[in-house]
Amino acid sequence: MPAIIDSDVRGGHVWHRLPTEIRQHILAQLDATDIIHLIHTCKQLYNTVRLDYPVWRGLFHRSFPACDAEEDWLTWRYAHSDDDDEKEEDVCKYQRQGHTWRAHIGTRINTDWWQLYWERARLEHNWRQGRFAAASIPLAMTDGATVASTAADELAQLDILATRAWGTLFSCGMTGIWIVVHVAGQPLSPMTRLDVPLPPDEAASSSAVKIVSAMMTAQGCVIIHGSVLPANASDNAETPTPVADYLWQYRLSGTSMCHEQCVRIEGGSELLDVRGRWALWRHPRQPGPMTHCICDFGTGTCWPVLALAAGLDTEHVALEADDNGAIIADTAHLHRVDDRTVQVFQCRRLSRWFCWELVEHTTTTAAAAAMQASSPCHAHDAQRASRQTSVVARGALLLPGHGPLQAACTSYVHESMVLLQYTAYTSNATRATHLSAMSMASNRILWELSNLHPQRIIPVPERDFIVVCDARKRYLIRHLEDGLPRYVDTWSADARLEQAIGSVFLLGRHGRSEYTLQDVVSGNRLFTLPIAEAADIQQPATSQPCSARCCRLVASPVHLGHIDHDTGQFHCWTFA
Amino acid sequence: MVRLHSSEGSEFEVERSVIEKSLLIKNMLDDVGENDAAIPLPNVSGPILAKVIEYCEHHRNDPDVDGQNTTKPGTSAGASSPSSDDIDEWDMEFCRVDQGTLYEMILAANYLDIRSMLDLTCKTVANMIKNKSPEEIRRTFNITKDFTPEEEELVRRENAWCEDR
Repeated sequence: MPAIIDSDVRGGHVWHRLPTEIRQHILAQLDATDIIHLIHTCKQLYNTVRLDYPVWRGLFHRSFPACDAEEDWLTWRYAHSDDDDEKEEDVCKYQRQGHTWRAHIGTRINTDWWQLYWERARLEHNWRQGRFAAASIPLAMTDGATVASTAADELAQLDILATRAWGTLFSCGMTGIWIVVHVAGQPLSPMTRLDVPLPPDEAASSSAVKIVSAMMTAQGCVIIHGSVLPANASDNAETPTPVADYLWQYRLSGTSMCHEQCVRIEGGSELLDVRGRWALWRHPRQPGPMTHCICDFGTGTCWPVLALAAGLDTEHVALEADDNGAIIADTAHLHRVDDRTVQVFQCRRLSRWFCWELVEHTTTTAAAAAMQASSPCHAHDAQRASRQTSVVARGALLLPGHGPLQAACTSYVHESMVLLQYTAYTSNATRATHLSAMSMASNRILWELSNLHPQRIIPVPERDFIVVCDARKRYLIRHLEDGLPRYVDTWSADARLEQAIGSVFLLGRHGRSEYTLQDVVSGNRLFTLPIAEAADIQQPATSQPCSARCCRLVASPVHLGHIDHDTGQFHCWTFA
Repeated sequence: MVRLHSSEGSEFEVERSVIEKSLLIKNMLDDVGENDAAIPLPNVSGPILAKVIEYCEHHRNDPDVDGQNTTKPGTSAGASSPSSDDIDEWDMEFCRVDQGTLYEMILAANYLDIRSMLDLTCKTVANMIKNKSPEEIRRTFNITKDFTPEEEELVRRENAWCEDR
């Protein structure tokens, strides 16, 4: 931990006499390396600047802009913090209200920004130097009070579903979900089963819950999506029709997870994304397109996102009629989330036109509570009345190619940019897949790559690059506004890439026991991991719903995790 | 015309539109209205006040961009530091003074509330630090190293991360 060094104040140079606000103004022009070099010159500068929190706060926000990985690290950093005068109830209150850690520490007056900056910078330094602390726990599972005697074949099925800096989720063929919470570099044994109780409303008519998927949020929540099966379903029926689907929410509290609530969603839905207090799920409506819905865990309510056709201007509707194009599907993603609002990007392809809009949903819980109190019989209306919807931006683009567009999807890059993937027929009736970056500010395509089939896209907008994994090739796209793609031939086709932190990626070779940490922007090989087993890196399931697929080696901004079935242990390497 | 009195009592006459770059003086003139009384500036010496007037004369036609170029929050290139190498030639020459004078100019710009001059002078100091080793910075500012070798090693080790990128 950084220390303050004793010094006796001696005058002389200009720096000693500068008023604080002017010194801060000068330091705001410098990057971390320059500031560190400056404070290495003498004791007085060291001690003065080191305690100048506004300087480090500015540097922290500038060097590590808000993103999911940073929030994940902050959750890990503060979840078990004992050096700050954090009261646990305060922490829980902040989390329950959906506040992000970054917003929380920003409002606290006693945040030691130098300490925070230093820890965050050292974390990345450790990744680059390959410096970690190894810890292992046995694969022992518990149902709360008793350690379950788990059959060997069941243990063999145990796999990592998802990981975050603050914990790792495990499952045995989706029959149950277990969690290990990471405390200060040490995974806490044993694995604790997340109990998925039957919702009270369904208890009479249902028998069991079938887990569909599970996700972890950077803010310390686990969301399990499950179907409630009817009580009278015969045992031999392959797939009994679910009564309904629910989302169960669990929250990190100290070193354990507590069950918060369950929210009913439409049966047969698919959970797409969870961020902060918001979840996005979709329901295949027969007949017709997908219906995307938002779940607000803050109020425990769900609602469909605004139908896009209502917002289309007549010109484009007319064009659609002219082209006689059919509406094939809709797609949507969670765009920007914060404490009270969620922005949903949604789009519809009308033949060759691509119509999009960014809709902001705001929940005002205080108003809802007030209205509920005054008229208890209209609680549902009160909740609805507290929600406001407004269109932030909308537009339409003419996309190249002929005939109907297919299989489009979008993803978030940064506030005003989305990536759009779509397939279109070219003139000779062959299909071509395109990856385009669209600017919402100017309603135009900034750049486009054709004839690649992205299987995985890892946007790192805070460092101004995107990694695109095609079935055969990997591309690094730098300078997002211009989109300069670079085919990286040093990442072989079977190499699996996973982001650790910033531009540090974990690179694994399929079928070979070789794992390296690389800086994907500079191309520098940083460190070769001493892993003996020919483990298989799969993409982390943090941003994607889990399925039967297994993850053997997973990365969060703070650690690498790995199940060793031979020795029956979970290994955790912490780089903080 | 506006009359200004420096700390040692020398008098300067300057056009109102020129000196209104200083928000302090502008607000003062707006409050009391134009009259013949000289404005006393007890915190600014004559040579520095001459530099301030020189600056305001040269930049009299610049559009007001209060605080526009200091920090740009929310840009995608978050990791890089704010640019400070966009200083034009006249400004560069204007700031080519000894450190004592530069220090007085910073204080004067701050006191008189001339945002663009404060930005310029602070940028000039920042540029004297950029891409330099601690030893080079010591030489630039005439700073005496007072770390013991043990302390210096401690400080160096603790901040080894900053040499990464």
